[in-house]
Amino acid sequence: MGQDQLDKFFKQQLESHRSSIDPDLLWSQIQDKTQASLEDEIQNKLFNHEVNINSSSVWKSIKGEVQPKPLFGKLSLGALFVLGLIATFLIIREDKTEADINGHNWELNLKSSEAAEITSNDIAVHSAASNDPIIANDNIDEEAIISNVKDITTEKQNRNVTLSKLDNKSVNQEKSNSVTNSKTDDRPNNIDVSKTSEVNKGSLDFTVNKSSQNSSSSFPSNIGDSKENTSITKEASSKAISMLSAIDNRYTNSIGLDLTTAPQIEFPILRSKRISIECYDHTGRKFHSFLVGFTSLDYYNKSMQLETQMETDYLSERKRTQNYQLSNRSGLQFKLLHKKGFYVKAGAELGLMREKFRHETRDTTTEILPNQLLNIDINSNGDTTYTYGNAPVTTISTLRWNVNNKLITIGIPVSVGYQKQLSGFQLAFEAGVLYNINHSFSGWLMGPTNDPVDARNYFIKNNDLNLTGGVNLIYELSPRFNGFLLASFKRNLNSINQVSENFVDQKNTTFGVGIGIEMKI
Amino acid sequence: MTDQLKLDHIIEGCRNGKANSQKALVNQFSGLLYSICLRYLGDEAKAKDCLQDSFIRIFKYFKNFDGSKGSLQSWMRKITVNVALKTLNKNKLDTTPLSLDYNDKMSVAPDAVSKMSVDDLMKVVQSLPDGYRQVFNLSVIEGYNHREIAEMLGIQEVTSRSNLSRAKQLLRKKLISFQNSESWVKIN
Repeated sequence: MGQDQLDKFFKQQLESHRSSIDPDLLWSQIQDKTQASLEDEIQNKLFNHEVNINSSSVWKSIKGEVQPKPLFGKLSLGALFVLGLIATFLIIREDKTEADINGHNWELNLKSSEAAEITSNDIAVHSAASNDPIIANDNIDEEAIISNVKDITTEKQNRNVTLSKLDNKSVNQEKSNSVTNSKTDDRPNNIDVSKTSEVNKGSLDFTVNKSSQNSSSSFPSNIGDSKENTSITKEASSKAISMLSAIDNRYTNSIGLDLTTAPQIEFPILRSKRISIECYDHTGRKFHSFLVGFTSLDYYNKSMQLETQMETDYLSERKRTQNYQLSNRSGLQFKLLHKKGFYVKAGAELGLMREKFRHETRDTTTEILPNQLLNIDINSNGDTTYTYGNAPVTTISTLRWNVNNKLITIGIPVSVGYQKQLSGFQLAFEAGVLYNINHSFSGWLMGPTNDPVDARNYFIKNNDLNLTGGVNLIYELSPRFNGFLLASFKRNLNSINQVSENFVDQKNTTFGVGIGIEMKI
Repeated sequence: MTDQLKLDHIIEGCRNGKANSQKALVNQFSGLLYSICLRYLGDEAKAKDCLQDSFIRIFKYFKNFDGSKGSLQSWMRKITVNVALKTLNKNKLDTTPLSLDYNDKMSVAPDAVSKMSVDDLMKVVQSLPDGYRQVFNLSVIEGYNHREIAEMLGIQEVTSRSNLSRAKQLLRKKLISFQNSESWVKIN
């Protein structure tokens, strides 16, 4: 069989040949392939598809969750919260005490034989006739005027004693008390001891009238509205007794009144609906305790020295790339104040030192790249010829560093000081030490190889002793609260750098001005 | 600065919790991740919530990101997908059975998808019932196999397969109807 015949045979056989393929299966496979390509197409289109969305609003909505509040802020808020809680507690307690007193329509009928506890800070005694002060003392020794117990006896003779005391706060605030004697003979028959105050917390006004016809004295209250007379209570008596603080042996003696032989006074009904006689500033206490909170804005001066003098360039680079930013400190301390003005303070202090690290890294690379335009030639006919070839290409890249560095310190300050009363305010000087129990640095610095490095390990973690000092100007806001302005400094006594990590021995001196509040506890 | 260098800088910043770097990351990837959220959830409000949750998780666990194991983008995609799935699982999945009036003989024109705009394609995918859309996205777009999908969704492999099959059928049906709709005419 020739080739032609063979070809013809194959043609005849195969031309009409039908394979035994399942058309449904084939259709299914075609469908699958179509589906697969469809899926690929969908995947290509959707995999990296981006939908327009305002990313700024997304960032705003998540920023609060993502960015933790600074530790400093948290602790400051915590300190304020604690202060607030304590203040609230004390206010509630004070209100409760006042409410208890107000709840009683208390009355007093005090026998002269009953003990009178006299408490006063400052008393001025005036002669009614001359109106000259017999005793005018703003700084009477507290012990001398505390808890004097007097047995007051009265004689049946004309005598008019008026004792007026408006509020315990007046002890500190007004400092004007007077005992007025109106004499008809050489013995005093009219005594007026008064204290005034603008504080509205409550007041008492005692008037003792004694006449030969009537051996009782009357003590009208100028604050209590009710004029009802009711029975005596011992509780009320003790409170009223503490109000008779203006009388002291010295004063009565100085005006010629001998209370030991004075006529027996029968105290009439004494009542007050609204009164607060609790004296906060108990002069009998040798020590006063305060809770002190403060915050200050700081400037710090860095003293950076090299361990060896080999790396002066590095030191200058460090100084060049680090710029001061406003820093601050806050603290919460306990203060124990002696009545003579000396005090001790201790507590906790949180400091945040901020600086900006700025640096530019310039990187120049040269490489030979193909197909670079080397020459353009324009001939006289105006034809332009471009010549391409390998050529060195220099790439200059600049990386700018602009980092906010933070050094957070937690320390325990202990200081001693002295405060002195001046006109209207108190001036306090203090000095002490601060032991930092933790340093936490975050940020970047110039590394020893003149490349920026993450410098979180450059600073010591703890064991840092500081010398501290300051001046406070204290102003009394209320009997319980003092506000103060402060100016302070802090100086590292040892290096705060891990010298093993870099060559710099860094000590900081911090100067700060700020405000604070003291709360008596 | 090249893009990669810039991204490395952003990654380093995010690792240290720097706000600027985090913001830059949000700017760069919010469009992509929002698209994923939309594909899975099909609802803009839910997708925005999902996007926020995703970024919060991303920044929370950023220290766990290991660049040697994969790109940042794929790591973020995974987190976003997981958050989207979690969101969907809070609600009962809509796996409405596919109606059988679908004409199997009808076919989508070969170039139909390529001619569609991505937004239209997104709409078609979003219109799938939740259960089908989940499996379709995981399988077709993200490339997970049925075993992985079953593990992720807490279903059986066979359920995954059947959901995918039905999703594809439904998608084809929707594509055909879309093809015949006026919008399709407008596109062409």
